[in-house]
Amino acid sequence: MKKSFKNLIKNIEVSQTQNHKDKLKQSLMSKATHLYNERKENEEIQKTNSFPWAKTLKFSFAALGVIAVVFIIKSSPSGNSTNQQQPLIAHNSQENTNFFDFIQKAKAYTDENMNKIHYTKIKTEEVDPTTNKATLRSQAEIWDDNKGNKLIKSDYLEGQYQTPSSSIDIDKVDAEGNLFSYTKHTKGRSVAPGKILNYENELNKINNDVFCLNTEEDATSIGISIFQIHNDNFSNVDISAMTRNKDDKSFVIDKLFRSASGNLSKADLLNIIDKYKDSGLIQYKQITENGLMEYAVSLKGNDFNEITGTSPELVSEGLKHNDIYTFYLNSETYALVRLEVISTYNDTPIAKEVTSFPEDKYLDNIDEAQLFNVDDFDLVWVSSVMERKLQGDMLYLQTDPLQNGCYQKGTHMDEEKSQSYIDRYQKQAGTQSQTLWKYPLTWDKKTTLKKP
Amino acid sequence: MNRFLLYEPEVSNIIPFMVSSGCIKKAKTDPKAFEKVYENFYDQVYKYVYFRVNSKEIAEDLVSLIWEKVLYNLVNLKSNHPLSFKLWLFQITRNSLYEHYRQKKDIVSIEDIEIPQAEQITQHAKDAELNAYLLQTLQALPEKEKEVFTLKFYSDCKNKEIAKIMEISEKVVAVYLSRAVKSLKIKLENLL
Repeated sequence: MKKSFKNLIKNIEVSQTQNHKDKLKQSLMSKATHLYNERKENEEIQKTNSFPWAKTLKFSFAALGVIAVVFIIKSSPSGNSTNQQQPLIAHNSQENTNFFDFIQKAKAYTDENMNKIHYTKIKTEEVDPTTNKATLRSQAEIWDDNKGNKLIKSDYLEGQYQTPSSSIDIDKVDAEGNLFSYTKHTKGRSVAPGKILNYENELNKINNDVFCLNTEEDATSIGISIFQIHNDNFSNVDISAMTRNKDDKSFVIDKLFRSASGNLSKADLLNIIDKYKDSGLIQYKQITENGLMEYAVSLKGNDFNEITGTSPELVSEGLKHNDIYTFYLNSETYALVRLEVISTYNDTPIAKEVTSFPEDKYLDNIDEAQLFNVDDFDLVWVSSVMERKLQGDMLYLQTDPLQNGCYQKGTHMDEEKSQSYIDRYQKQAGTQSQTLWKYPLTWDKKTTLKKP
Repeated sequence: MNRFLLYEPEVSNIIPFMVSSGCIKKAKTDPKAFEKVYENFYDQVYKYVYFRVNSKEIAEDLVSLIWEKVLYNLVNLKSNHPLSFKLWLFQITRNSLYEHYRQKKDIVSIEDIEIPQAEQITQHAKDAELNAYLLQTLQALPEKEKEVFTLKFYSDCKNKEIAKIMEISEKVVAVYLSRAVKSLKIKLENLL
């Protein structure tokens, strides 16, 4: 007898045992009883030991929680670096009344050791260790020691990330900025000395100022910031912060910002920070000479090692293969876009929709071809499916999905080659991404489509 | 701040729950209340996980893990509204699934899943065979569609809830749902 669709679907039998449900319940109840009793006891102890000044202090250091930080500078202006971390300034709630004072101490120290120091204040405010994704709120400030002015104060940056298990120490930047290396730690174990972000070439070109700030207390918390500033323009700007709660060790925060190309003005940088404040993603924006707008957005995990390979075209821009997805659009370019967003972090798929996407246009007829004025796109940071079928133009998306779900512009990529990428990806990425490559796309920036 | 923690449903969209806000609040300190919450949401979570991983054993492991996370972190959930809790719960569930996928080495490509022809299934086929066929058909859906479909039909989530859980808009939910139903209907044509 034929059934209705709903009945058919609803009647699928789920393999499930009451036994599991009961056993789990029993286990949970036992743990709950223990846990709740323990919490209650702790609360009582805290009440007993609490003093008014301690509360004030706690509030002041909400950003840091209970993380005490030790700044360690591993590089010196002479270029002599050492693999051993040397404590710079011990910071804890006993010695300093606020984070700002601590920063000033760090500043004074670094002033003596480097001609120009640019540094950040990274403020971690809230983290949700509930799930494997930590929720981050942090605030970054960039200071110019030469002028004594604070250049940038970012808004709160918020993002969700899969809790990473590794951290990175900056090992060395020499006086000329020629060397730039790092040591990667995984769960406190040094695993990968290496170059960071493959920036040697760029660093050689720029007599830049570099600031490395490494904050940590034992192996469980670390923050890193790197800035290179040249002629009042920001180049190769990276902001990254990783912090693990010293007490519960349950999370690591990772916030990254990056501009991989030069000629990024302060205004641009401020603009970028403003733009990405809600995304927590790395991005890059530039208005080129011919008026094209470039947006580059990337999800980048904490594992810099995973960034490999270089697209010839992107090399000239200082961008890295697998790291950035760039597309070029001008005001008269219209794209037919169908967007399904699947992002990943540390190879973990994280389903995410682009909030800034013009939803009203996109969603009304998602199954149909849509024309969008690309200027409406505030930011397309991960697009798994883009489709364009105008006047026979063939556009493919060349991607390397093996790397954190990042995409890059594919140029002059024929369909066959595109398919090879798709095939490769499907084999390695598995089912989670099977929708990604349904519609291969390469963006040919030479093609300009007129508004119909 | 996780937006789910702050999400407060509109009054008009409040759906009936077996547990109250008071119960959620109490569950943060009272094992008995927690048990009630568990009883109320266990099936929804299990079914969602089961259809995603298609394995009873894995589903049970994951569900156990998920509920442990819930237990230990419920205290951090700021809202006590049942819907907020549900969204939070499914966010944990999804994250646990992603973690599972990330660790899973032998992911089988969707292309490798063999789907028997519908003609092979007669109307008189045994229930088990039919069930297996239905499961396979469902598993063959694209991930997003499958997820939406599962949340809708097996975890009893409203579109609005699904939208919040998956961080997509309701319209997109509807689209995924529509696609999934359309796709399934085609594949199950002979059975309908």
